Amino acid sequence: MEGLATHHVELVYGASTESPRTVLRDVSAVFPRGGLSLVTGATGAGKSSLLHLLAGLLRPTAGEVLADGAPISRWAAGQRDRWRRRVGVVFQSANLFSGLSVLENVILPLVPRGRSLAALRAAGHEVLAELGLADLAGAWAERLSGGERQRVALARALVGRPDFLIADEPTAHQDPENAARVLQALAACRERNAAVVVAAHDPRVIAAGVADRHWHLAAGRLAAE
Amino acid sequence: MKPLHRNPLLLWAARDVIRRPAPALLMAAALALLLTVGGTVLLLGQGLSQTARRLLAHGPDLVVRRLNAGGWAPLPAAEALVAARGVPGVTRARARVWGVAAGPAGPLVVVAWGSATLPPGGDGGTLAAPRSGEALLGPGVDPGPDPRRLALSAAAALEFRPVGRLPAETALIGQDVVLVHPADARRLLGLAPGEAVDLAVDVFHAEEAAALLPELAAAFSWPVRITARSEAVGLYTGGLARRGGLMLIAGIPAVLALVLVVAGAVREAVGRRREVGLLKALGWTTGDVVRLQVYRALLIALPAVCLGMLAAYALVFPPGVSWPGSLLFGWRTAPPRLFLDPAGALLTLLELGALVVGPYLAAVLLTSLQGAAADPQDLLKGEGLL
Repeated sequence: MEGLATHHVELVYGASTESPRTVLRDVSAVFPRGGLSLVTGATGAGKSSLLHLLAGLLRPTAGEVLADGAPISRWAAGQRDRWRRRVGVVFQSANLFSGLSVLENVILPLVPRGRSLAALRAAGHEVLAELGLADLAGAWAERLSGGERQRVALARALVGRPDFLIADEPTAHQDPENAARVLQALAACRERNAAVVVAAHDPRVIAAGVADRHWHLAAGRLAAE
Repeated sequence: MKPLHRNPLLLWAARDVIRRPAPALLMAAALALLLTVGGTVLLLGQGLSQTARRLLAHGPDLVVRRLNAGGWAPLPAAEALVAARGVPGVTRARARVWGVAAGPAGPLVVVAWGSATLPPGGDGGTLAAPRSGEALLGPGVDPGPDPRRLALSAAAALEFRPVGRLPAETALIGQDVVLVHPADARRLLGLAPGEAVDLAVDVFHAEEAAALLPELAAAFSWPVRITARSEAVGLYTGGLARRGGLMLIAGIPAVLALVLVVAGAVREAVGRRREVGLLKALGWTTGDVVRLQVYRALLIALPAVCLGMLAAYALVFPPGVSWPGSLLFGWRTAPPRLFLDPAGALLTLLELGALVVGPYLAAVLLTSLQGAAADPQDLLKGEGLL
């Protein structure tokens, strides 16, 4: 199966401590390529943790995470590093690098990939234009508004044309026009046959009807809506 | 390495240095200072030794002095010359007259100078051997309030008319030397006609000079002490080295500074856990992160090391440098202006550069390797990002 999948995944924080906290219980789901999967749930339900598992940033306490059928959660760190080049990640808090311009932040994932600086800049400008950020290319990241930061983080995730896009609250702090731009960019990524997984609180995302699948996370359990 | 425009990682490393200039500048300053201090101490010792060796290379292969119960004694020149020249392997022997006399500003070395050629004078003109009543002054000799006369006293008190100055380049060995006519020297030092202080002996094969010592010593009818040139060079540079050893005290803070530089590099690399975790989350591999850190370290270290090396060179080798003289020779007045030989300086500086940059790069490499090899889970969790 092409795409991302979890197989009986369990995630426990502080498993070796006296007060372990189970975040995900027996989560089995498929997030196919060419599809946009929406994950909703209350604050603290474990949406971000699920997304981090899918992005290869966390390892499950039990169960497996699969990418195009390969068990990435069992891979060694180096193998996961190389695989992560195919993943675009948008964190809930944009996590931009301060002291760098918007364009520099956006092209960051491509820097070690051996392309010329001109090619990197061209790719960065292209994706910034898609998200209505062309005018901000030279601005310092720390001077952006919350919504702008989140769109820059999305641009950074999209610049490498990822096979898997994991986005945590990408429409947070966006006005309707920019929220539409964000959803359009997510849909365009799906059209390129990427597996797109989005965690969102924003009712506009649900209402927009861009999601092919809708999962709801409650008390650590994932269920199809 | 790829051309710069094809190597964005190297450009990114430069961007990263500019992004946080204060720690980079501090590190560069520490490295440059370390190279300057360490390089100056090493180059000075090496330059003095090289220059002394070069200057003393023109001296005799062996020097013979007569001993008696009280120490040194004058030797009968004619008899000594016959004895020395009779030893197979000796090509040339000459009797010398010299000694120490009190000058206007302290003790001076008085040397009898006959007809041998002299180097061009300090003013560029040719120097003639001094005639009776005349004196040629070393670069640091202060004739006193009246520059037209030099009063010296030893066994006798005499006045001389300064007629020239030895070139500044000879300061390392001739700073406090006064050349006078042989008859004047004998009178001043209390030597009878026909007496000499020592014999300067040249041999056919300089490298075999030591082998001639027993035969040469046996040729004289009185006890002698024979000094080979290598021994003279060793004594001379050894004396300087002892004083120079004091300068090594400067090396202790330098070593401490190196430890701090390494500790600083480690601390900075450890402090970048969040960034490393984010970079890995964005698809950077361990190798990418390590290369970035190493490029960054090189961009800081290489200019700093070059600057430190240049500063050390500029402190030691400008023609006529005077600060080492006052430090090493301990003279209260007129320290010699030195013209040190820079041969081998580049190699010494490169070795020192490697000694300083090596531990710094190793610290950066090992720490970044250790940090970057971790899973983003471990790097980001502690930073509250997961």
